[in-house]
Amino acid sequence: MVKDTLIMSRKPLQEQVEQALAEIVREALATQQTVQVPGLGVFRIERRPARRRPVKEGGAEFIPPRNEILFTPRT
Amino acid sequence: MDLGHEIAQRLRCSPETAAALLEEIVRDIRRKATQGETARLRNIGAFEARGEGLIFEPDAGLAEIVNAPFAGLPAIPLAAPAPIPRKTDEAPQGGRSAPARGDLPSARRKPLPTRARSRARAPWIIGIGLAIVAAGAWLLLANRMESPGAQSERPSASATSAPAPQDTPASSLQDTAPASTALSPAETDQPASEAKARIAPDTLAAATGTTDPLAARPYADDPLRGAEPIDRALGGYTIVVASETNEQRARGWAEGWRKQGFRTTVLPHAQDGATLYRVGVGQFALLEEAARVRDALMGNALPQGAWVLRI
Repeated sequence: MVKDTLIMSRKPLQEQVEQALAEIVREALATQQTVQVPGLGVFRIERRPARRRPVKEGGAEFIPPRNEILFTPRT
Repeated sequence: MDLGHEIAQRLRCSPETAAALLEEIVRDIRRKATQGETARLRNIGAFEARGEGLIFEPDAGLAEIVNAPFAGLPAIPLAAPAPIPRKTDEAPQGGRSAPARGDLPSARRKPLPTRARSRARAPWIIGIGLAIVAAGAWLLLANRMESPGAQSERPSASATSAPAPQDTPASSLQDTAPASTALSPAETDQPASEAKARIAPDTLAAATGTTDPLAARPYADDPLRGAEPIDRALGGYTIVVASETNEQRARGWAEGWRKQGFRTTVLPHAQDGATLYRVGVGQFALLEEAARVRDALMGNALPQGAWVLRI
């Protein structure tokens, strides 16, 4: 009974931690920062610059830049 | 960044509790992935086991957030260069003519006969010669007619030819300040030497009181900086430094860049029923020129995400 009560009380806090973790990771990546989650891995942003890509019909198109999310798992 | 402490601060709990719960979450993700399931971390993405490690697939929302600076930027088609017409079947029958150079494969390409080469060059040589003679005659005539006091009495180029961009009424310009608000070095964050170099052409023209007719070009001397407004009618290319869905905020950004001495514009762009306002700095005639400036200044004077857009 006591154990169940403890589990019940910890559940919302665990959800809150998960939510806070998501917020921290999102905020860090949005500002191009690297964030390390202990035991899981490292999230970082790599910028892919704009480029010119040839198209089959002739000519080319200008592809705008983008940010890519990279994850390196902890080994 | 100590994640445990950061979480503890946000949740107002002890760092030990936060670290323990974080460890539990990570352990749960690893356990699910090891069992071949997809472990999902809400608002971040999904993890799956591959080999000995994990692979991560970010949520669409997260990818959208990190790409916010480039939101709504479509791929821009670049027109293919016009094909060069090839000379075929134009040689008169029975006449001596060399085959067109483009018709031969490069490995079998032979040099044109000497007479054919000289025939092909003749119009060019005559044209260049005539141009040199005309230029010399014009210079001679100009030197003879010009008296020492005539320069100040001569009407300026803006009075005789098409109006210079400074004469354009401010009401017809979008998002730029009047030309009279020239920036002094003290008003900018730029070093004094740079600001001096930037305003040198205008200052020189004002000091001497002369206007060179050849200087009345459609594009500004300095495509990136200066008080001269960006004329969208001229076209060309600009460097986008910010994109906003709110026009006022976009104009605020543009004003900030203008105060730093940049020529700015705000370009509205319709996207999925909404309007995106792009803040551009500079006006360049050539895409290559804009890209070169962007590459040179990106990370210093320009933000990392700056990109080139056709005006």
